[in-house]
Amino acid sequence: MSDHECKTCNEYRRISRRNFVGISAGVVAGVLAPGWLPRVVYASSENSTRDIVVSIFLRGGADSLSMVVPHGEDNYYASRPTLAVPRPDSGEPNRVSDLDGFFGFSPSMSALRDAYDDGELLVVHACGLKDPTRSHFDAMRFMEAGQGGGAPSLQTGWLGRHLQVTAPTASDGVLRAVGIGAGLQRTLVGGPQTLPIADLDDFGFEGRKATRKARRAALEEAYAAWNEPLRTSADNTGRTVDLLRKIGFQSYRPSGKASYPENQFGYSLKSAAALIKAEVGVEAIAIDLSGWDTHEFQGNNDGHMEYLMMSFAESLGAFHKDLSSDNLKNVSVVAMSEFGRNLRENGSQGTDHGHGGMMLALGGGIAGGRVLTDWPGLNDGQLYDGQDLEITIDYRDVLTEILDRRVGNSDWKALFPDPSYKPRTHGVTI
Amino acid sequence: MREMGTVRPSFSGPQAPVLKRQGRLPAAASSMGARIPKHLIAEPREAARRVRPRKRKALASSAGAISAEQRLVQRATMGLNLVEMQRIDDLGYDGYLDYQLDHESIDNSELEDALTRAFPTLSMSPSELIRTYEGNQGVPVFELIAASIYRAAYSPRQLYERMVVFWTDHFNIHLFGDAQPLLKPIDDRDVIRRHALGKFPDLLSASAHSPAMLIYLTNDSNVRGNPNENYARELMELHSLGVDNGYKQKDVRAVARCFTGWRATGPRQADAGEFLFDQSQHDTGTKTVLGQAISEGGIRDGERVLEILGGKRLTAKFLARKLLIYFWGYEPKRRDVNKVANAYMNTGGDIKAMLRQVLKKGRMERAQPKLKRPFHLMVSALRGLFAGLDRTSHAIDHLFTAGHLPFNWEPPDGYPDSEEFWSGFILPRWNWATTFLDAGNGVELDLPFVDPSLKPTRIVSDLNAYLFNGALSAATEASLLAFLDSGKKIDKKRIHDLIGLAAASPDFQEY
Repeated sequence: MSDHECKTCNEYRRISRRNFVGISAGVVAGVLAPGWLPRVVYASSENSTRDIVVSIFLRGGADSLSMVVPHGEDNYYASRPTLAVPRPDSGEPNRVSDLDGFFGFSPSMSALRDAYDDGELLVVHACGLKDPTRSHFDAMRFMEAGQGGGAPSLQTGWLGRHLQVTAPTASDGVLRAVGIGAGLQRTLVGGPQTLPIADLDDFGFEGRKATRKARRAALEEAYAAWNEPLRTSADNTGRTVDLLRKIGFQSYRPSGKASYPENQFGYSLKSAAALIKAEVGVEAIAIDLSGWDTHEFQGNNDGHMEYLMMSFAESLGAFHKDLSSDNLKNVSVVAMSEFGRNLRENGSQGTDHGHGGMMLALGGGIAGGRVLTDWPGLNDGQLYDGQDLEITIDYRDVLTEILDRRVGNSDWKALFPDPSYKPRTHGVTI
Repeated sequence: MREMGTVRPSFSGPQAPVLKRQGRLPAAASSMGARIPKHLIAEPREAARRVRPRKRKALASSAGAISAEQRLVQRATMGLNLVEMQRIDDLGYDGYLDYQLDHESIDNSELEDALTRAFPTLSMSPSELIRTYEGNQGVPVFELIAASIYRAAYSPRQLYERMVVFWTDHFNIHLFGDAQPLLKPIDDRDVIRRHALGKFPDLLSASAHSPAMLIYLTNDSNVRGNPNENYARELMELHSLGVDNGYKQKDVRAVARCFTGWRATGPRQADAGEFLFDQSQHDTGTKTVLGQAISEGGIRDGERVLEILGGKRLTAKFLARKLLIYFWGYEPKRRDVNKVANAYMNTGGDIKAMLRQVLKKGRMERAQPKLKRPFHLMVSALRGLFAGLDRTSHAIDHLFTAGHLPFNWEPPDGYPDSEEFWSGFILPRWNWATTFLDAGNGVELDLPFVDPSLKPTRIVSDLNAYLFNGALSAATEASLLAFLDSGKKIDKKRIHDLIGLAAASPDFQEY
């Protein structure tokens, strides 16, 4: 039914476009006052060789086959008559930008080309969660908790547990981890001195000035006598307000002429960069980019995927540029999604839930500039469940290696407590 | 409403995550002059005065030790107040539960009439909504969100409103994107609210026929020969059986085929936005769903699936567990799950029968403390204080900031009902509590204890009675008193600050 056009849904989609696309206005203009001092030097750095981990979750099941396209696979093109990105040698305007003769970036990912060419961006393909679930929510839960599958049993997240079992980088730091968002990502659950914050630049006490101090004192007293988790949450909140006030997010000026896109994800990464440069002892940051559940009108060059890939690549590309002069040598970014998508497109010019996906790692200590994979192939006999990319690298291998080699935590059993799991080293880091 | 509510989406369709500073929906251009009639709030307030709060016995000081009656009022309503406490005193535990469950006997016509006048989109047909507001979708969006706040806070059918919140999450539809601004109001009215205390199979079926749901989960492009699995998967995973619970990928594929052709009439048709079964796009072949062959070959295919799912004990258990988490505590006991599931199986999925089990006195006596989500927190403060609400923009701004604007959860699993998700971002709660009584935010307060001539101890103890039924913890009570009685002049503003502190206190975050 590839000729089916679904006129009705197209019409409804147009309704939404007409109304919503034009709305985004008044973006944080980033009034660039000159007062930005990159280092608050709030915390003494006792172990400055430990990388700060930035964990990006692409929620919804990102179509890795559109992001890093296996253009050397005939069956990719046969399976995606409307969605495949044309081969690098096709002469088409929206063709793949070749990386290594077999894989290439979709044109919407081109903002990551510099980081890749600098050897600081690594693609790990055919990678992911091996559990067969196709549920977004179970798969996200497993990956954020650091499980291999089975029944959801771990309540805390892999990054939260990492913080639990390691001493703070800065002994006098007040904020070890931030989840950018109104609710805490499971990735960070369990982490000490960890808070979800929707907007780092908007985290202060409101209400009239005359009583602000007294009100704060009353709340601190009441919460100090209360139960967990509210007691600690309140304590972290008060101290974090004081900390973030010292960081001028408004006046933050990215380095290297980096230009973050004016959307939520770009703003989050820009804030993260400011927080990293302030060197206040933050060790981990979790950021989400949602909307990858592209069951229809995926449109790699003009649809949901194009927007998402550009948003992702331009933001991460700007982050790379912004930090590359200095801090990048102590930053490891990992990006992952709960699963990839079906090799074959569905009848809605979209793709349904699949299995294998990919991860990206970016940082000064990442062995980038290549596509790391044990490629299983996309021919009929090679597919998982007859329809999806197989997984040959466990997502936990990538995380284990980064935490071990870049963050100095070799206690992978605490991070990924699964008796059947043994990490394999693939050469993610230098 | 006289206000120009600014409703700010966080997403528009799957493609555009929007920062609060970045996107603004056009304010409700045709803002209405109607208000909630003053006496709706004034009457309970008067009744509250007759209750004489100081005479109420102060109860134990830590969460968990309060009476079963107070716990029931806290769990079965969107926030306790003196009138509800008086009611349970009068009716007894079981009588109060009967009263709340028999929601149709509770007259809510005054509120509904006022809302209908204030917000015309609430009673429009889909085609009227599409015709009138296609180019101005901020209006139905704003009216739906504002009405949700008013109903939660002021409807006398409180358990019903609690269940509306529950089902809104269970059958989550993201309001911002595609046609949802124009069609979710219909789903809210004709699916969620119509069946909130009815039979679950009816609710499940209504949701499956809801154009907003079918478009949100892209079933409108699920067609013969090339199915789109999106709705089929979430129907089993989120709406009925629970994740990976008794079904396999082959069942997802088969269910998707059963629902081919289920969509909505087009926006240019005279009857736009209605459910449509398109036989020409329906896969008429035989499918096997959960071991059962389905070969009706028409709309009956999907209906059969709904009947099968609605009759499964796995569905009953999935719902039982969720209801217990919602009303009882984060870690329900297996025995309780089974009892509530039995109630479902014995009654053909009667929601009231399940609630009778969930809310049993013996069970509520052992209920675990729960953290209010931001919407609940806000509404419960308005309720406890018998506060009027003249405009909703401050409330909506706050809910957006706190991450809990109604209908603004993008994925289909609904806002989480978990402590670890909500317990970190408490600063917005404090900031709302400390500003909601400021002039200009539309909150109208008329309480006898907001009187600077009263003794500080009296003011604090009355506040304790109004918001906590006297169960405020000793530490919080001491901190409130210290704030008020610090030697600084006590004026109305300081008492407002005190009320804000009580609403921001840890005691008030839980219920």
